[in-house]
Amino acid sequence: MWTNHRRNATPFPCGLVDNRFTNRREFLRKAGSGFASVALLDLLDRQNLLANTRTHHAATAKSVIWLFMEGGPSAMDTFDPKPALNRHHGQKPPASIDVFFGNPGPLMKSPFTFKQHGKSGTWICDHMPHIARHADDLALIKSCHAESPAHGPAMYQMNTGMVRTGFPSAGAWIQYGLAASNQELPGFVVLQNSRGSKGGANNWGAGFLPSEFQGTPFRAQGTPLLHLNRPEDLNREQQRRMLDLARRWNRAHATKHPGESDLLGRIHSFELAFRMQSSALETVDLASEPEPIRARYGLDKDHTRAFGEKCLLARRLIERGVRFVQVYCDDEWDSHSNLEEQHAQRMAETDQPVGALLSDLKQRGLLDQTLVIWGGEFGRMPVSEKALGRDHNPHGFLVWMAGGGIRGGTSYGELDEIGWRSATNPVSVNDLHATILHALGLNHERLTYRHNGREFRLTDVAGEPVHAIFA
Amino acid sequence: MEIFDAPNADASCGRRNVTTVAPQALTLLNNPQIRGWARDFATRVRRDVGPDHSRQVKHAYQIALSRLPGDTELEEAIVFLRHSELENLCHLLFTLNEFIYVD
Repeated sequence: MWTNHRRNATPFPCGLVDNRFTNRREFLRKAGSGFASVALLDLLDRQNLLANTRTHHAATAKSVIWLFMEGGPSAMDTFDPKPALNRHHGQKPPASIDVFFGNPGPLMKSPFTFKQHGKSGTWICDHMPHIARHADDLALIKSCHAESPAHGPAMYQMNTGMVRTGFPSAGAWIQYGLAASNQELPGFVVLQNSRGSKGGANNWGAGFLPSEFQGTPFRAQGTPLLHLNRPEDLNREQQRRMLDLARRWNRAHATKHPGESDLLGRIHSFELAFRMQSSALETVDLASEPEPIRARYGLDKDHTRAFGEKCLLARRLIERGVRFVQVYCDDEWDSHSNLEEQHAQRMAETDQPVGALLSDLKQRGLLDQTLVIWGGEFGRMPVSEKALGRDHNPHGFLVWMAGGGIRGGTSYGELDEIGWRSATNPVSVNDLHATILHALGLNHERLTYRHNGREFRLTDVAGEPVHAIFA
Repeated sequence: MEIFDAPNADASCGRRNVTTVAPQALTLLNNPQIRGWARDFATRVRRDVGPDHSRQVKHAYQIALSRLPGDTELEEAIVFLRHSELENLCHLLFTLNEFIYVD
């Protein structure tokens, strides 16, 4: 249904909308589909002369590493302790709380202890000693709220701004807005949850944007990319000749099927694949990192290795000019039955790698130009579920940002006393997206794409960057 | 199959995701199994129609795409075969959008 909806002439209540020439790039590409101009267009494309290289304002970050804590980490058990919960532990909540799975229990205090860290005195859970060393680098956005209490729609909203599936992800918008700075690697890489993410590939999809802007998932386990070596009986020149003819025939085929962005996306994917063969092999080779660095990310320990490898790879990717990297945690923070055990496990797996990433970026002078984001699709309830767990809470949760122009050691907004709802300076998902675009020099109101007869944005019709957290 | 959007068995899948990303292209270009199929395909074409390039191209098109090549395509393929093995032409047919997408 959805796929048909965004293809060709789109059925719309007001009649048929033809979106065949939806932007300058696609128009030029299609207009130039005669064979003589193909090579020239490709050359221009590769050098990004057609791309939108200009930012709207001075960027504070060149790239983004988004540490996606899938499943919904609890604010009050990680970075936003709520003493009121200790006082009212076991009591009935002041208002009737709508929980996703029903049967809310009484208010439940955090099973964890907290200490203040850094000059800022930021409270951080004792299970995150490595991140705690970076307390003065973090800007905690404590008053986030989202719209859906269910994982799938919430994942879509956090990634695309919409709770429904099929819209372009933030990474796709950013690729659309900014030229790639490395032609031999994808501009948007997804380092996946080994269990698979709720909602799957639509979380990093291109939606109605040209499909070449979708995120490229690397494998969650084992070698991140397969098949980077040519078959032994095929040399580079022969393969190039093969691709040239295939591209020519694919282009001719695409002109007979106008409006099918996937066809062009696939042509693009073969060109990128050809270029990746030379550089990606080196990029994904974590064995080339010195032992102390590998140990710092936790690659020498079973429980930190998987996430550590992804964090280290993320650093290598942005170091080579990849614009947008999403690092999904393995498993989930979705702690319905035993929050103490499940959250402690996630913190044990992610704390050291995240701390290492922040230190490593800083030492290499990359933190200043890399926006690091930590957060999930929602948070968790102040009341208990099944005695020891917490249910989904889209009304109030925490996201932190660091690096890339962010003023460390700060916080913005507050939840209410018990950590249920965003109370002071609420920050919506649109606001978070506007903030990310702002750091990259993009004005969220001006980054638009015409679809279905109107201009669309990552932030739809709302959103305001959280200016207060910028230095 | 994970590279080509095979659904995760943990959850129901109402509709498969359709992605077009470089790891898929890398698989089609470099996977030894696919290269092996291209070699087998070329062997079959040679066995069926012999060494004539024009007949090889027409036959390969017929098998892979269920149609004959257009005049330009035929000409381009024959030029290609002057510098390249039939295996490579057969391999490139597997990568075409026309081969992958059903009209």
